[in-house]
Amino acid sequence: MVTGLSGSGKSSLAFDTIYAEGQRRYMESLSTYAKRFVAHVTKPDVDFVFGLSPVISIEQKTLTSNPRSTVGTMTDIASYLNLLYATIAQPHCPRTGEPAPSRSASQIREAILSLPEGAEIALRAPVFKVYGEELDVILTDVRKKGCRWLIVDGQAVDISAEVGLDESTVQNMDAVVDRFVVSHKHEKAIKAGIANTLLVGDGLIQLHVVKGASKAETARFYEGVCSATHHFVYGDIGPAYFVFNDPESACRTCGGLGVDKLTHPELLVPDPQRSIRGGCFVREAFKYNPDTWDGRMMYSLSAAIDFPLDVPWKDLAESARHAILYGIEPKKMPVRTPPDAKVRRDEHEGREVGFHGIARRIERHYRRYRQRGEASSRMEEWLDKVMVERTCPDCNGARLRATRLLFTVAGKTIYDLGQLHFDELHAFLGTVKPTGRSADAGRQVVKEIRGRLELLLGIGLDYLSLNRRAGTLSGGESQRIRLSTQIGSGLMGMLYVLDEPSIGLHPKDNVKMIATLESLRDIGNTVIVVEHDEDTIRAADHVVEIGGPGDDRRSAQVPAIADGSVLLRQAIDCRADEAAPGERKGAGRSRGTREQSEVDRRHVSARHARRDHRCVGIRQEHAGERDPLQGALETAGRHADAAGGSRRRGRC
Amino acid sequence: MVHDSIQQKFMAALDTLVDQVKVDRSVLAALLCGSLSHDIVWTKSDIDLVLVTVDDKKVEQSDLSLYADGVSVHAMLIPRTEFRKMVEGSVRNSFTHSFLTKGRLLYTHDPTIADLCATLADSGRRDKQVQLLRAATHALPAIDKAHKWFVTRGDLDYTALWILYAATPLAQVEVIGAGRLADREVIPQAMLLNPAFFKTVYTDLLNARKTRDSVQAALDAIDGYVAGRAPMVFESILDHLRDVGEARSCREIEDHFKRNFDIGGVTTACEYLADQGLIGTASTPARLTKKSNVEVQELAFFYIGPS
Repeated sequence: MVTGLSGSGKSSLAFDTIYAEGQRRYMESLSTYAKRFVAHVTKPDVDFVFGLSPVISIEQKTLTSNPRSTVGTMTDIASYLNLLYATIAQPHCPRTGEPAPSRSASQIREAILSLPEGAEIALRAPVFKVYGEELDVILTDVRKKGCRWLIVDGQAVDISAEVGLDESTVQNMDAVVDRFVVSHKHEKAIKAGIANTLLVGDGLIQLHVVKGASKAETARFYEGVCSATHHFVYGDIGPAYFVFNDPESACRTCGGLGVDKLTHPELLVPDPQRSIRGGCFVREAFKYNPDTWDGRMMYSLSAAIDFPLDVPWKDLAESARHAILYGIEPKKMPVRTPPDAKVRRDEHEGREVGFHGIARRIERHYRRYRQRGEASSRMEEWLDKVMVERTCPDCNGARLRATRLLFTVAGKTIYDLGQLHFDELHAFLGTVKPTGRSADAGRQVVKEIRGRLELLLGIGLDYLSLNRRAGTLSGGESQRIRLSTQIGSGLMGMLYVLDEPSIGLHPKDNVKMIATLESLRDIGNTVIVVEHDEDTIRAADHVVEIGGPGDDRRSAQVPAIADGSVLLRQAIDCRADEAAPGERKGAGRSRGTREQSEVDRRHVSARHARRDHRCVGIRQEHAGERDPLQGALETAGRHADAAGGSRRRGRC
Repeated sequence: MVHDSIQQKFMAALDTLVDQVKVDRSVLAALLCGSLSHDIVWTKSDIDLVLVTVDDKKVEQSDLSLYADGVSVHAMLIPRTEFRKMVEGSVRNSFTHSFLTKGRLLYTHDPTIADLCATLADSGRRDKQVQLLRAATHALPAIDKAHKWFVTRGDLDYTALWILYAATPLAQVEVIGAGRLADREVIPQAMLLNPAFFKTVYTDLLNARKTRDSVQAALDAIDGYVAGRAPMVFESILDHLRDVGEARSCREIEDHFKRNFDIGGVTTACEYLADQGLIGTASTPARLTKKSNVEVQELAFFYIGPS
């Protein structure tokens, strides 16, 4: 435990010295090649640090603003869930919802080869419509994957010829990926065909016996390997199939974010007192200029539906505001040139043209931006200015493609499990009884997930769920999650450095947090905590108190090293002393001077902290071993004495 | 006579090679492509042979130069799955499709490969539209250049050269438009279908003395040819702009055609259609880079015809 006044150099000791040196030495152990990919770490200004263990820092801050990071990914439980679903989940037919089998590619091949020699079989892959996409995009995509024939609602359709499919009426589509004559000499071709079909079908194959097998043989084949109605079988399903951060598994609309963006009128018009001509819109969204096409369109719209451009936005009729933002589709309006245009352009004057609205245009740009898969902070910044998030209309927040949500464990999809609070999830997994060939593996995974959940429940995070976005967690929650992950990792001999973990915690949770730190210690680690909290200090095995009031020179030294409870007792006495106003006056400083002095003192002590630290360590002793850091601690005391510093015990 | 003997020599070499290859269990089929399959060979020809191999990670797709009885053989080893993708996935009338379609299946151990090759000749309307648009879009820059050199410098030779550059894509428009399979050497095919036009823009420019009148006639013929076919060859652009109703920037139009039809460079076609008065020109605000703080106007187009 490192404690002391603010500015006395606690964090400088814990983070800028011990942690920084530990990290630097770890980096030194990397190969020259690997070092090229990590940031250079400067050597802390310290003579030497003795007996360092591998060091991990856990700071109290919201860990990431990455929208792809969730509690599940932070705790690694998401990875275990993915494994669980790949192992024991029951898949379903995408069309009827009836159970469908999941097999390895080899099993599917064996099943095909069990058909009579000479039978002909077609491998088809289901093709799914994509939310908000035209059918042409899907057809082009399928074609690029090497398929020319689609079975659309039972009818064979040649994609190279078809231009007139009615998107609204199309229900089911299957691409014909390959066709074989069953024979052992074509085994390799069948193997490659299955792999290719799984690629096109996103993990699904539809098997279709064309000819060459009797009705009974065909029925037996379907019964053995496919779903009953549509003859689907899932192939080679692995954990990656359920990873929403994998582009192949992520929802095609939101790219695995679970949210979509929508223009918000109030954000688009930040100042409704202004008129359109006066610049009521966010500048990047629309700026009225009579000499541009946009200006011409706005003037034409105002003429067509009769609203003035000089009236404040708030005073415009609702219908006019709606038309400006969301257009007049499918109606058209005649093009008019504004009278205030500097250059009079008569071309297209009076021609009928459509107008889709300013909000729709932004949403269109947003969709194109997402489709291109680009990531631009400037673009995100601009979009956030005028758009708000909404749940993705395609995946409904599940972040995954629909086929992934056809897998259930005890009737729940992977998304459903992620929505449960930890206590509910823990209880639910207790009821899961894996069966079948993968039962043993499933039980192991369930046990591992439950173990990790217990750690999270132990630190008072029972109300969180795996789907919760990491960015919405408080600093304390993030820190505790990281702590539980570290405990779950089961590493020993590590040195953990924490910065004020008690901040923002309810006293009830603080007790749990202390228990977690003790767990880390108990499994054989060293924990250095920078802290002011009384309960945490009391729980420490060793306390290092840095600095003291009134004396700048002492601030960066180590005036007290004691057992937690002893120091606390003395600290509380001291606090009573400090509170006596007479003594403060005795220091001969006015309040204003004292405040000023405090600021100066912080600068001085920070400087001293970097210069005067020698070597300080705290470590729990195990099984009677002499702790090298304890030795170092004693050495620190000797250094302090030798340097003439006062090594006081029991004073704040 | 000479050609016959060369042809026989090539065929004999091919037979010998195929007899050897046939017993190779890793080769499922042999497809003769190139001149020997559908054209006349000469002494410097080689034999283009597609060998469909088994799907095996140890058998990679590769090209190989073989030597058979004094004849060079360009052998393309393609695994069965890749071959299937190539046949089914290639847009009809594309180079790959044309190359395979003109070929001849020599033998196969896998009957599904024979079925696959039998479907190569089928031509689809969607692919035809895409290929027409691609060919016409390819012709437009050369036509523009020809006009520019004629108007600004009066350079008849250079104008004629640009017209000749445009002749190949225009011949593709002619052949594909007629529902035929376009060869790599497409102009002779087109000359059979539209001799008058290709005489003006191709034969006369090559064989007759170029005069201002003859070059002007060629330019006029081309303008008339493209204008007359614009609604057909640029149908998908007109359809798209009619469907969206309002103005769309060039980048949006390009993105649409890339995603929907895997075709690029349609801005040139839009500019042509705007010049022809078939679509209108507009502009939309745009930024040059992701970090730009200045707004510029990007060229945009909108549909002006009847709904």
